[in-house]
Amino acid sequence: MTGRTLTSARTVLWHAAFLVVSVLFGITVRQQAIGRGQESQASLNQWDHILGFLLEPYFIAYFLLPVWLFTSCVAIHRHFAIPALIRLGSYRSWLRSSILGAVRRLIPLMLIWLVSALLTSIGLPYEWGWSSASTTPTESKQILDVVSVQGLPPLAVLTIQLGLFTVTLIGCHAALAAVHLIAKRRYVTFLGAALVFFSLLYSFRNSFGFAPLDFANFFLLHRAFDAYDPIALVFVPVLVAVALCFAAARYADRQGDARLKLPVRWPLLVYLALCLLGILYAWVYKLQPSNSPTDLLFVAFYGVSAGGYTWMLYLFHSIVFLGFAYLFQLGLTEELDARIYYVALRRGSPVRWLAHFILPVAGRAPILLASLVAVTSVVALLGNLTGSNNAITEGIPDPGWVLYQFFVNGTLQLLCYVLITFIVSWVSGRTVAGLFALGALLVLSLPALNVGQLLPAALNSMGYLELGASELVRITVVLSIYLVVLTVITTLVVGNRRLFFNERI
Amino acid sequence: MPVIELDRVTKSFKGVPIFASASATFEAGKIHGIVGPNGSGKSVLFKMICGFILPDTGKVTIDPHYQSPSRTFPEQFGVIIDRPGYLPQKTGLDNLRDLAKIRGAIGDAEIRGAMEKVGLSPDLKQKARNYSLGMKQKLALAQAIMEDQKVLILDEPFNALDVDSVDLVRNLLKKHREQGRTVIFTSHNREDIDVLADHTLRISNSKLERIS
Repeated sequence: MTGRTLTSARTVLWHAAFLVVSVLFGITVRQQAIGRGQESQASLNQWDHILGFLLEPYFIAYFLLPVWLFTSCVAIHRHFAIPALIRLGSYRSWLRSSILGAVRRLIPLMLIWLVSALLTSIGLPYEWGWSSASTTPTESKQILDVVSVQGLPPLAVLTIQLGLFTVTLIGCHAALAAVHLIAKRRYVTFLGAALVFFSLLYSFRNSFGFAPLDFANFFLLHRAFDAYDPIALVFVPVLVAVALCFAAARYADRQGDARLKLPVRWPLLVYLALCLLGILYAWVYKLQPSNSPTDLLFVAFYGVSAGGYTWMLYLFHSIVFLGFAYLFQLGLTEELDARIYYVALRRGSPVRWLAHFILPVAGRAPILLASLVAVTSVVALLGNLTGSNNAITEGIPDPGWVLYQFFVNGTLQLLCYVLITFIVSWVSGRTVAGLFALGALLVLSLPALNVGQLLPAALNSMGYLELGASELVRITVVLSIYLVVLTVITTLVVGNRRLFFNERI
Repeated sequence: MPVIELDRVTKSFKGVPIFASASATFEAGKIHGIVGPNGSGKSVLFKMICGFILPDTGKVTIDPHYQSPSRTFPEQFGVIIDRPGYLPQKTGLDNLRDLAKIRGAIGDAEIRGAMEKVGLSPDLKQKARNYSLGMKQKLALAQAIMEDQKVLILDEPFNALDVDSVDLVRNLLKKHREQGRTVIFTSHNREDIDVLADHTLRISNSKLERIS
């Protein structure tokens, strides 16, 4: 089989997987559309479903955008090679070529998305105009409420939405490519992608101060209608952003091969700064002087609860705990890419290598947690949080359980994250796959997916304290079982020399 | 007894055969040169000898002097196999210190001595990422010999070395042979093989053939 055939087979598989996920999601959106129709007791047509699907924030935020950003980062990294650069002649040409490549990747995805929307609309009446359900205001029907009253036919709305989404995703790709041109470091590009992702998540739930630049405007037409009149103006900021990317490429051309100077340990420094910022955020926005230091710990590491989550607290929790696994992933990448054979030969066996590599990381987990408690206490003292009535944590079993959840389940959760990242990287033979695993864990943390708290994702959230002490012990048992299973799997995959770093020959 | 013996070893990767019933013996105290076209499986052979990967069928036997039951990988083997072997943000000396710490058998004096033997100054303040290709190769050689290893498995040890350094390393390997140590190396340069090798093996059509 030739390399081209293999690549084509992989692309077909990838598109097939994308189609399957889109259709499955489309089916759930269709149920919601039917529910809305029943609620308003008005008739539906295919636009209720198609536009509802193409404007579905969850599908965009938790599937389409992360997948696009990840594949963009990988494509940028692969394309940014001396043989390509020398042929293209300049960084500007490279950026142009990278954007064209992104367009070629995006068009099939957009078509698949549209096809899955059409497929899952089968059975609904086909009409050219808006249905009576979409023009009948209801409490839960906000998206179509906005877009159906703009005086545009549904087909025009569909075209504008697809156009806006395409331009925005290409703009995201251009921005990441420009970041890569300036920094010339893969992890800075991934960090940029994470920033775009989190900005969109934040923007979906909240609004920035200056509404026209609200990130969600560029993904969702109903948000854009609120901010831009005429609607065509929504394309202007995206096009300006792309122009700025070309300006950055011009700057990179002038700088030659210079790359962003960063301290050796910059990922660790960024991580520590984010941890501190998150604790300060909890203090500034959520607490009063009457609150106790335990309250601050509870709020800062609230994460998710069985009933839902607050965006910033979920984000901070993910940064702290998945960030620890990310730092581990960086160290693992370095070890595997640079010196695995030399270290393993001296250790004598793969399992001994594993023990020496993982155990210090396991030791750092409680140290990190103790440091976070220390920082939280200092912030509480400096912020004059001297109350003793535990105003916020009043409803939970006991302040002692706050520390139990933080230290016991926190350590277990961190170790699970580390082992999951390790197993995925080791078995796939691609360290970048570990990043994908972290992304999956981030999504699985959401209470809507982690039903019954059975998945090893964000189970150390303080939000679960609200379920009572017995639930915390159950979480400990769940995490312990996962840890044992993951440890056994890790030992087996490392000990199996047919899988030794996936036999990278 | 030979230091290493391959008995009807078969290895394929994703359906592509790399070795088919390949057999060879490597006697102690000799220099063995291995030649073969690019992608013929020289690195795979070295990884199988070191135990990093297993043959699909057949057997790789290591002299028990170098293979204690508690270890999966052989002892007293110095290797250069397709990884750079250094962390880019550290100096050459610090990289070697890290590796030496694992077994704790040698100190700074031996590490510095090994660096000097391959023509690399131990006092360089440069980070390894800023080393030239030749300096990186010398660093890899230094890690392979610094713990007084008795068997050297070297994949392309002369790559990127200047003429003087090639002479230096050739003399170093000859000295190893005089001390009764075993060296197995690959090279695409016929002269390296002619000057150094007591025995030469060629990887051809998934077989290992002894050609001298």
